[in-house]
Amino acid sequence: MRAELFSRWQPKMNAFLFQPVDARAVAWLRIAFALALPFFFWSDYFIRPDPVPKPLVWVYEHVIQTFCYWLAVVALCVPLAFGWRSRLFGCLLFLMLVPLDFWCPGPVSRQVLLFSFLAFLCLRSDTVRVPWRIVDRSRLHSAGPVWPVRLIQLQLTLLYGGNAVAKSSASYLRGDVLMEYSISLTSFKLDMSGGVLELGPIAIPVALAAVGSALIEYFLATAFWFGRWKWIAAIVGIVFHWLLTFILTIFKLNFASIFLYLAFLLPLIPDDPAVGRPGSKIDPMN
Amino acid sequence: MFCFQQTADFMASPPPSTATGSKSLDWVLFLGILASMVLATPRILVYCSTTPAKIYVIAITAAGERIALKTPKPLRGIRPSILGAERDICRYARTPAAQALTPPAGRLEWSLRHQLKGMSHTRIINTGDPR
Repeated sequence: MRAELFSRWQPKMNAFLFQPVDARAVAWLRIAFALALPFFFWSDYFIRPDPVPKPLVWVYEHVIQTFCYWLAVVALCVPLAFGWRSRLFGCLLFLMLVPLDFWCPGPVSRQVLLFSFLAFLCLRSDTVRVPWRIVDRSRLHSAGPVWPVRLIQLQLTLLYGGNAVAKSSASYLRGDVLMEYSISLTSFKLDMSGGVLELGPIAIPVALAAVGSALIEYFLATAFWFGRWKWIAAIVGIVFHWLLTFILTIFKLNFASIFLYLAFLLPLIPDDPAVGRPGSKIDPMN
Repeated sequence: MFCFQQTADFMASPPPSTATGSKSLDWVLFLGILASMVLATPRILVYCSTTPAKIYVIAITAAGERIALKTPKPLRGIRPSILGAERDICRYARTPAAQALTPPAGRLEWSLRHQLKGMSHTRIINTGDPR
């Protein structure tokens, strides 16, 4: 019984994780990462990390949290953008960026980006260096199996899904959490303690806004996985994040979330299921 | 140097159908990164639960002297939420018990202390503006 179930799911899992990924789309994603990382890791304020041992605090103050360090990050993004030894430089870049996230109680967008970038490094993103020069899709190469892309997609699902599940508490859905945070956190731009969220001329009961935001996050966590819905999900997501900018500041998490939409919207996975098999137009071994 | 060259050669090799050269290793890497993502998810949750807070009260005399008082019994202990604690303070501030605590020609300063994202915050409550 178990063996039958396994044999039924194995080809599906194989296709889901090991289907070859389109190297041209991966090259676009590589360029997007090279442009986005300096933006996300630029800090106009640095919070001194608390849990770091004393000798490391010195390293933070004099090395990691300096403009020169950020310039080094930018310098490593250049070969990444051009696809020159992108895995090697990408790994170095990743190692440089880790201390800017995990020991700094700053923007959470960095964690989302770092995990996605780590997954991205598992792709052979240097197969195609200049994606716009390639016109004939039939001559494209594979950039390896698709599972690193699936990980980036799963990161987006975890981001929305995790928040949606956490918001599914009675206190949040009643609007208590939003009312409380609107008066206790400076990142909230509107005072909702009166039970009403005033967005321009529209007044929405806070409970309704809370339920709405949880539902939207559930929708965004799932809809991207259904090909037909992904563009609608992207539009809903962009409008959702645009509305959020009027209510609260979540630093760069808005942009980080939208950035991850690329993993669903770029044509990374060829439509033809035969693609990648030996003898097909896109051969993973080529 | 040799190791570096070997790593560079590996990284420059043509793209195989697996990311690491072995499907099992691919699975390990996939599950490892996925597990790390899941374990780190609590860090990316924003504004999802109410914040426990503690109430403090200071009596300010007519001369401006500040005297820390013991928090009145009904307001003692950790309150489950800031907003709830604020409501309780406003309600209590209008009772005769609170009037009795107020120094002559002076006033009481109520404050809430809470932790958010690892940082400690203090909020002074305006009891004239009940929410």
